[in-house]
Amino acid sequence: MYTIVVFLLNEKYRQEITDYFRLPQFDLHLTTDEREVVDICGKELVDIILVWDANIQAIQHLQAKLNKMQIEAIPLIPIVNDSENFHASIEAGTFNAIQIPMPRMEFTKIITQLLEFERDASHQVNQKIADDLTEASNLINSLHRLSKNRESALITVTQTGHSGRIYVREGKIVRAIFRVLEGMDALNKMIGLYKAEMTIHVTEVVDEDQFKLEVPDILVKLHQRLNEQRKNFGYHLSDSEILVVNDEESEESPKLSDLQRQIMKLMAKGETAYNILTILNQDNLDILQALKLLSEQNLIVPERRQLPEPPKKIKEKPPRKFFDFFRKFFNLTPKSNEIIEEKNLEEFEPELNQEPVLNSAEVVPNQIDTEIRQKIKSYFTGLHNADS
Amino acid sequence: MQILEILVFEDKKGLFSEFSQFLPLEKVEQSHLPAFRLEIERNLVLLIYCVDKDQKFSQEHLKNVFPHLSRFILLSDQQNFLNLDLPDVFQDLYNEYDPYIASTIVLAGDSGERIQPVESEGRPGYYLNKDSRLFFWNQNQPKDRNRIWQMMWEE
Repeated sequence: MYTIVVFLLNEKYRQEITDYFRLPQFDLHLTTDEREVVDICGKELVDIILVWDANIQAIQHLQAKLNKMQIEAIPLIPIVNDSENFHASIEAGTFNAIQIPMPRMEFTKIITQLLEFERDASHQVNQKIADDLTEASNLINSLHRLSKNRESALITVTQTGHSGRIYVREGKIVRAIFRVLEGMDALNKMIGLYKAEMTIHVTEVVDEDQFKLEVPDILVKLHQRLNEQRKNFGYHLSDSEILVVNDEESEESPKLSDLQRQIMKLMAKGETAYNILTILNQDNLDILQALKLLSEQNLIVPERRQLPEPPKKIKEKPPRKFFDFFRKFFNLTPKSNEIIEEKNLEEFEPELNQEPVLNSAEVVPNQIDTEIRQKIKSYFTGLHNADS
Repeated sequence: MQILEILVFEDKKGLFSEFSQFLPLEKVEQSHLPAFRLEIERNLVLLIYCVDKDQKFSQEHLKNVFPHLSRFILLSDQQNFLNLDLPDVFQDLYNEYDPYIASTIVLAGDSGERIQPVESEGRPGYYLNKDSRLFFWNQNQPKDRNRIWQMMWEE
């Protein structure tokens, strides 16, 4: 059974949501009170939070409240009804925004995939931690879930040949190592890596507890590190912007620290910024700060790659079709100003993001409940009889 | 409370007023589009937006309305229907949401004569969605419009 919390922002969806999540696999908590959302998430093992008829302010406010209560691990899914809020959600980092209306089948498919993905996180293998730190909380999510389920597992974190391990015994993090680093230093290193991969083996763990902290405290600290890293080093070190040594500047500048010199030497040998984070034992934040300073002094510069050009889109809109079928139905010829030139239909890129409809009779429109129809029909019948 | 949203497009101003004359509609104040409320029962309300082609309305307002519609009603005079052109902004949205919203086309006339469909293609519902209907409304018969309001909800 999946536990769903819906933070309802628009009453008109209440009935629809209640009807939808009436299925036996869902345990639904529907509330219009943000405090109640946080309260439920603190007490129960919630699988996802849906913010329904979400807007960016509501999402950010709720996220802030959950962060404050250290409940960041539960995925927050905005359900939006317009494209502006959809794009705002994506830009804010909530990548699983769902735009409605949507056919019920499609919605079910997406929700089920999300729920199964989250539920299986503790048993997934070869999961990427982060491409750009946006999803680094996958590691934190997994640790949180193992803790809640009191499971034992060995998590291996790998990045370009360097690997670390996190030992979890009955939900408790007992040991962490990454190259020569141990304990919180190792965890801090692993949580901040870019493009690392994570493998979780559910297995018996017998290692002794080396941590003096409880799991919730550890997770809070990891969250704080992640947030600091995101906040202060917002540039994503993406593939399109690799940093390289600027040959026009000297690397022997007296202003450079030891760390900065180390970084410059590694970069001169061709190491990327991702690898440098992995190779060096220093704190990730210190390394990123050093990179930032080197970049500001123009000692390292982005090497811009040519991205392939996007395919050219056909700008012409498809011809009007609203009344074409009615004209055909009544055997009418089109008006003179509507004569449309023959186009090669294969060149069109349809504007709709749905599959092409071959026969409109095959597509089922938004269905109104039979019971509702009956009520409406009875109402009009009543009026008709009264009128008679 | 369940609210079903319906958008009515009237080809000629006054058609909807005549078509809904017998209904206890309440005008909704503070709505971006002209809207009326019809309470079916305590927890079930129809919210009916009514626009005509001469009206100025913004694409944004329509974009907010279209995704939530349960039904689209087109009211047209039989003769005018043959030359009907929807405003561009309206037509684009209609094309996009057409597979997902049931349509009711009501063609008004003042006599029993109707424009005849071509025989070979005159099968009922051939070009309409499963839940969509085409009705001929004889304006001289008030019971006709009552009948249409009842029948448009049939499965």
